[in-house]
Amino acid sequence: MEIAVKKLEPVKKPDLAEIEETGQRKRSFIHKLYQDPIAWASTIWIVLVIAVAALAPLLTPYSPVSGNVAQRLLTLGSVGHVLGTDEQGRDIVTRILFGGRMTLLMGIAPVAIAAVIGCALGVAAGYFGRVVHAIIMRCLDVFYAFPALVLAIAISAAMGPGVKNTFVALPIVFIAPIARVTESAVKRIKGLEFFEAARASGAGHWMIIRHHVLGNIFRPVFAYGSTLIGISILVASSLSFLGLGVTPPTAEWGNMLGSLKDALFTQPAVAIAPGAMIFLTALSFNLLGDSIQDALDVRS
Amino acid sequence: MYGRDQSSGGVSTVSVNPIIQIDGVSKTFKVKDLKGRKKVVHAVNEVSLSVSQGETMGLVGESGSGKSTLARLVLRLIEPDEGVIRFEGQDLRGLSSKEMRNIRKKMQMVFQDPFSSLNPQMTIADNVAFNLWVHGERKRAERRVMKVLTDVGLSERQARQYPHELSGGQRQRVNIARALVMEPSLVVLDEPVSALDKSVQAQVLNLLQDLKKEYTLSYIFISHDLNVVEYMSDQLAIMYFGKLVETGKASVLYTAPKHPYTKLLMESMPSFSKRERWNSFRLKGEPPNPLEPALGCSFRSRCPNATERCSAGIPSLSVVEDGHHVACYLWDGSEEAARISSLV
Repeated sequence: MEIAVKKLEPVKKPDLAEIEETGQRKRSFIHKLYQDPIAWASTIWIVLVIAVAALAPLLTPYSPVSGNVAQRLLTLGSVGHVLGTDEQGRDIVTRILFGGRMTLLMGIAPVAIAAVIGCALGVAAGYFGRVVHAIIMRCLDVFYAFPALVLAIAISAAMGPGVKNTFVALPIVFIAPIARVTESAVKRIKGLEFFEAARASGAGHWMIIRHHVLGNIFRPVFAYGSTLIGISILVASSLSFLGLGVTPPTAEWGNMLGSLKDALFTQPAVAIAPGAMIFLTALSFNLLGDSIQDALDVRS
Repeated sequence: MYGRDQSSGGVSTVSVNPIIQIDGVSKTFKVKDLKGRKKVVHAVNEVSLSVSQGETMGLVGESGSGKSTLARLVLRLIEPDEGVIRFEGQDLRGLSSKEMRNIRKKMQMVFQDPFSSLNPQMTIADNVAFNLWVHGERKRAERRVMKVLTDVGLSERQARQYPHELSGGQRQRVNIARALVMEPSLVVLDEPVSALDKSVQAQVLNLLQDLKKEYTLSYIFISHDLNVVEYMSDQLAIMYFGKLVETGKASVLYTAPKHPYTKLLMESMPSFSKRERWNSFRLKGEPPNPLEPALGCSFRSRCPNATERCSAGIPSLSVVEDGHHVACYLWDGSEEAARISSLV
């Protein structure tokens, strides 16, 4: 019965209604998230990871980089090492706590950098004439030709391993999709009458962009960007796993997984821990991003 | 003779102290048809019109007749392909952006859609104040905005609200306030009430009438609702397919229309008293395809009085009496026309 009713609902409201209802959305956005159990679960997990990563030095007596070689590859539940130790005798719990800092940073920072650059490009492409649009969008299409991971690996491989290079490679991967989302949002605004009213007032481009464009593209870009954080974590971890991102001995979940893969046959349970952390954290960001998108979307 | 071949592309209706003079203005848009072939649509075709100071010019036409395009041409939101537009005697072509900005203060527009015409992320006061910010009048802005919002009947509390918190009619008042805050002399109203309920329409129309006196405005009032136009307009211009077909005093056009299209419009007007006239003039034929306009008069395909002459040439506006122009061979002053029009 419920399904039948759902099918009868109009699939798409006109754009005008969508923009117009922003205000109602403002209230119902939080409300919708509040009612969404998936959003709750993923938020709790993310807050937990952030909290333990921030408080890492207080939560563990061990060092994340130097270990006791005499206690290599202890199994789960060993005394003093709940999740065991790695191939250099470092405590896995400690490494995961400290590694979370790096992983979170590599999830959020590249997306934030890409959002700034992508928004600028998207606004320029959507706002200014056909020539600017064509130049920017065709250049971005080049980046679209490669899957995110392949592109990130190619850029990292070309520039060499290291955290700095990862912070260059990852934003490049995300600029193109963010710019595209921004561009379509700007184009929609351009078709609305308040935009035309602003033009009729004789306002300059910067004035119009600042007051009428930026405020109205924030929501779609924010919603889209939040889904990219999970992907960013995955790609960053993959780079580290391959030895292209964070280099040892710095703790990061991806490179922990990389170094523990050799111990997979002797201590499989120990190797699972960083993998599980990557999986759960990336999944949480992804699900939260989806929930935010649903809550912001007036059509749902 | 007011032939369009003789002047610089059009005729002007004679009026004293014109605030805006449109002379032979054309605008075409390049489009692609279903098969992807490039076509040109003549949205506005050699239109000449002038609006006197303090007057309301009603601009009437069906969807796609080019009335909104004409409004945007007047405000120079789009550039005409041909023709001259003069605002208070000043040619708008080739003005620098700074000069144009000063003129924009004096000509404002009220938009049709009360929902999309306000920025949802700005308060009502900021939406109105934006116009003042553009012209560097931030200091005076707050007081001016409150004054004009009060004039359109909104409260101080509503000024701090966001557009979504207001009703359609209230939003349209904001829209009007935004136009008036610059103290313009000309306001172009593009279907300002067509998105509103009938009861709210009346309120907004009365408000517009009051404000016209208070702010000494001239209006260009675009609508397809003939009852609304009748209430608002001093002068009337009927558009069909990008061209003016009849212009003149509103009272004259409502009582004694000359062009067959105007007659059709007036007789299709729902009214309480003229019921029996309603079906006497049935609409026949297809409207022309804007991508493939046929030769001759564009109304020919639907006109009950069409003759061979109508497919051969395009009639231009000619005077039938003082201040009343009709673009139809029935009224171009020739002997044949006189004979036919006496029969009609």
